[in-house]
Amino acid sequence: MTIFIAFLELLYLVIIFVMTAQAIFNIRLILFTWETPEHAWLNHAPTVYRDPCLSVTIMLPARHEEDVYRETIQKVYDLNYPKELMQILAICSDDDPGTIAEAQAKIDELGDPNVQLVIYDSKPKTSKPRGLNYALQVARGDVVTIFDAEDEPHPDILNIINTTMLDEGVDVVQSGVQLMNYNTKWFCFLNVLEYFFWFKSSLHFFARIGMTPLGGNTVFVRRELMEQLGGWDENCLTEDADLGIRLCLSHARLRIIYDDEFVTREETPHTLQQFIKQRTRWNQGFIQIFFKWEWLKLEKLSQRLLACYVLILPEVQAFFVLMIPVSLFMLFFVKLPVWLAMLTFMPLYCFVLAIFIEIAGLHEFLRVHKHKWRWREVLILMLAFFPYQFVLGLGAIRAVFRSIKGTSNWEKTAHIGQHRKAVA
Amino acid sequence: MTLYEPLPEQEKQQQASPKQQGQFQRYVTPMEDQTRQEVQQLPTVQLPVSPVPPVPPTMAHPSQQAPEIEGGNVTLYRAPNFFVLTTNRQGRRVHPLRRPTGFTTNLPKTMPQQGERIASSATHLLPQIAPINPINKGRLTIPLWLETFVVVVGMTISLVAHAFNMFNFPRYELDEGTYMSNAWAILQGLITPYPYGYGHPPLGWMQIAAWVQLSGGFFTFGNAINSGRVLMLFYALGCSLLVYLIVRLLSASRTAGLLALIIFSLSPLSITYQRQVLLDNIGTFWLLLAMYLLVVGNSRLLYIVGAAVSFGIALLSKEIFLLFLPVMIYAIWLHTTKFQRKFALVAFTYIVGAIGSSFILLAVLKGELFPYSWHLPGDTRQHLSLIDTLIGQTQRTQTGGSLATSWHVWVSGDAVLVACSIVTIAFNAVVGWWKRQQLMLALFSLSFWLLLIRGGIVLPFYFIPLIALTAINTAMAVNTIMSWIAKLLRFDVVRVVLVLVVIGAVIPYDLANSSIDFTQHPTSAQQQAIVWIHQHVPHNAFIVINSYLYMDLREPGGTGVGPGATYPLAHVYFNVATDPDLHDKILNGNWDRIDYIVADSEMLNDIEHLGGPFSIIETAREHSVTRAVFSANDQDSKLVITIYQVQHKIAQSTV
Repeated sequence: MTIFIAFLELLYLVIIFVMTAQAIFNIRLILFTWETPEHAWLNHAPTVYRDPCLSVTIMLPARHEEDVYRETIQKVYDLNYPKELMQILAICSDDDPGTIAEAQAKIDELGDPNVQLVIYDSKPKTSKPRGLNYALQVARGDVVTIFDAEDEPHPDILNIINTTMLDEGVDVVQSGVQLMNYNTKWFCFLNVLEYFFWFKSSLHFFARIGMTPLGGNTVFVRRELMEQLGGWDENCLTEDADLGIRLCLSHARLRIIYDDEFVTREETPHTLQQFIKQRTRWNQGFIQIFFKWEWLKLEKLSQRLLACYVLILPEVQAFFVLMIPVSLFMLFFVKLPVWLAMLTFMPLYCFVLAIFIEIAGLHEFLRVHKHKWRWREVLILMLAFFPYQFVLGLGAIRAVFRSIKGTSNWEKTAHIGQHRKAVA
Repeated sequence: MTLYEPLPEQEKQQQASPKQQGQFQRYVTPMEDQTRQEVQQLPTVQLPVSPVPPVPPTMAHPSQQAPEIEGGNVTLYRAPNFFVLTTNRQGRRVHPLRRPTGFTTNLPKTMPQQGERIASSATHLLPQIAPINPINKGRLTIPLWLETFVVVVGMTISLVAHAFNMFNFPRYELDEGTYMSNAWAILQGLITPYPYGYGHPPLGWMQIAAWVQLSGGFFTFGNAINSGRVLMLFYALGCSLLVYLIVRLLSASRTAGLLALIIFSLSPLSITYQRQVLLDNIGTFWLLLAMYLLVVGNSRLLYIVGAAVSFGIALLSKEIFLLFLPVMIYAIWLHTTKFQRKFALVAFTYIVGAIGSSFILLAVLKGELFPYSWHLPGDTRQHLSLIDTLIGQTQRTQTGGSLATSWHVWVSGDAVLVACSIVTIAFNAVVGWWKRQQLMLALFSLSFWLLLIRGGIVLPFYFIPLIALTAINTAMAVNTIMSWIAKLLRFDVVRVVLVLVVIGAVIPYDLANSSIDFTQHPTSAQQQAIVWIHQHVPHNAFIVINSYLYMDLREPGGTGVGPGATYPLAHVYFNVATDPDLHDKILNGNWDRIDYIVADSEMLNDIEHLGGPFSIIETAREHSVTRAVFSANDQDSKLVITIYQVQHKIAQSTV
């Protein structure tokens, strides 16, 4: 019996140490960009543009986006780039007449044959990567990219990509994506900051190791490379992350740019339910990628470890969330030796540090996007931190549950254009 | 295949990039006659796929299909699973996928607003990453081996000055014994041998305990305190190296670094106090390490985290270093780029706070945060408390030691250093208007002076952190003045020579003032007392002692014990009086249970004047005879140790 208790104590200690290590590593990822002054240039977009040379095919997959689609096509069409070098492909499935009608009306209004509509049949199932693969067959640009239906790309983004690709000879450029409506719901603060740190900092760390799960949009890939890879994985719920790993496998040269001025603006899911659904889909996609085992083919151990870490992180975090009540129980009802009890506080200390770093991140975000700093919002952020972790954990558990059950339909996130109102 | 006519420049570019020639074999898209199932298998295609035999399209390629026009729309391409629509306008070429639209114009050679963009980009949005104080390289090139050699010589001088006679002078102090016995308690799984009162955080003596484990026990160097003094020697050497490095980096002058090293190592105050086993010596090392990491890190976050951890250890070694926190934060602000400043400040402040707060966490977990006298619910056991101690410490008056007495000790020890420590604050604060690092250094010294003049208790050894800070400040100030002179003469070597002259003046001055550090033997009286106890006192006797005798009477192998039995009833007088377990239970409040009292003059003074619970020892002393007296010269006075044997009223004497 005493051996059993000693074993439990040891196990608890090991879990505590793993939690601490994970929390510290997470903070390292978040702060990677700010580690040395030289890292400032990692995110810096070129300020002098080269002549437009590369032609770009912009894919705009959409499903039930009647409200925002027309505006999106217009915004993409208005990008500062010669119209001859742009091919815009609106992608809809044929069971979505509303969006098709919107797109057609817009295309008619623009009257430019380079703006095209790809309609694919909805059987056996509609999925974003399927539409993208069809569109890839008729894509004619040197570079292909995706914007989501609610995205608001920066007008100069194509010039930046053109310059970067020509100057640095890279095959893939991931430009920043940023959720903008940071204060509409309690979870928005942390969700916005998650994007902020992910694109601005973590992705650079991933790129340095050579294992980069890309974002779902504002990724610019040379079309030839895209075709060589065989397009997107149509069965994967997070075809973007899957593509990132396959690009790494093919040794594509990759560049991450997050210049606050040139980020593609997006919105957070507008209800908590939508948010959990979105997380479930992502996590489920990650689980799919994990069990494809392609990441095992990565060359270096560090790459494989990082891939494994990123892919199962949500589940690990969910497990840690479940540990919180356990540790509270241990603290109040189990008499641990004082030194052991002090060690059990290490993860909490790390979490609180993460809260303060989030607040600093919020300050940075508000500064670069010229919003006002409000202490009330900081308070909400602090209060929301642990519930937010709980929600993320819920998403992860739901994803595991759905994976086991074998459900793999796409739970779509609805968009209502909150970020546009927020900016306007 | 592209939507435009390629420009000549672009062709050049494509030729210039080798990957487009070699790596990319144009992959022929599988066309729509292939079933969707095949398409779905595509993602698993292995790379690299060269050479790929071109797949002959069995269905017309998009470029070969004829467009279907219906009203305003044109279907460009139709496949089993999808089709592509676009707009149809009269007079326009309808097949943009095949050839240029005919509307292609020459591309502009520069982008619109390029000029404005360049102009504005120079003034905004570029990351601000110039450090506030870039570390400037010295102009005179000296080979690294020569610098290393000079520093090693300087450190050797420091080593000799600190080590020579270190077991004999100064005499063993109460605090030294306390910290050694605390280290012993750590090895026994306790925090202090007597109930822990949260007077100081325990990390300082944890380091001593680690040293004891590493060096093979408490008595490797004679008695226990000697062992601690050897550790202090290493801390002192580490400090001298750090002082050199800090000044060298901040002033970019090796000679200034050397001056700081000499002032720090050879000052009589430094030689006296840095030999003693004091938490201040440990804390100073960690403070200097934090400063060094900050200065050398050049705004790298990892170094700032290192500085935070180091400063946190300083805090947990001696809580008084908390007063440097505001200046440390200013130093972080100064030494980080604007780009990183926010995150560096958050990380530093939080890590220091987290490490420091673990002391409070310890009290919370032990249930000893709040005073027992508050009778909080669930608080049933009588205990010491952190808040009680804190209140007690803030209310301590100058009876224990006043600034005036300490001032006298410092001035008689090294008047020049004391003067420098005040003058250079003013000087560096003024120069700091132009050169912020010097302001930072002045603020470091100033914040410690504020503690000394606050009106609370001040003991002479409180000066320890100021020795290092004054050495740094003075070297920076002297270097500044000398560089002004050199600038006047337009010859930088003058500065070097002048600083060397100052070093030449400091060494003889210091050595002349520190002769007693190398000649006196006050500890001999204390060592003789131990030997006398070993020879004359029975092992079951209750002995009231000062703490510096504790380890050597309690731990097997100690100089007062040898290979024989220990003295389990040797107790420190302070705890005999104040610890309820000792005073009320073991002694039962009865002076007659005390057998021997070994006292020096300070201890006698305490026993006589503190009164209250101390009267039990005083009564015992009144009923005793003097068995032995040992004395030795100690600075200007004499150290006298008297051993009293209590004359018992009842025959049965032991407990």
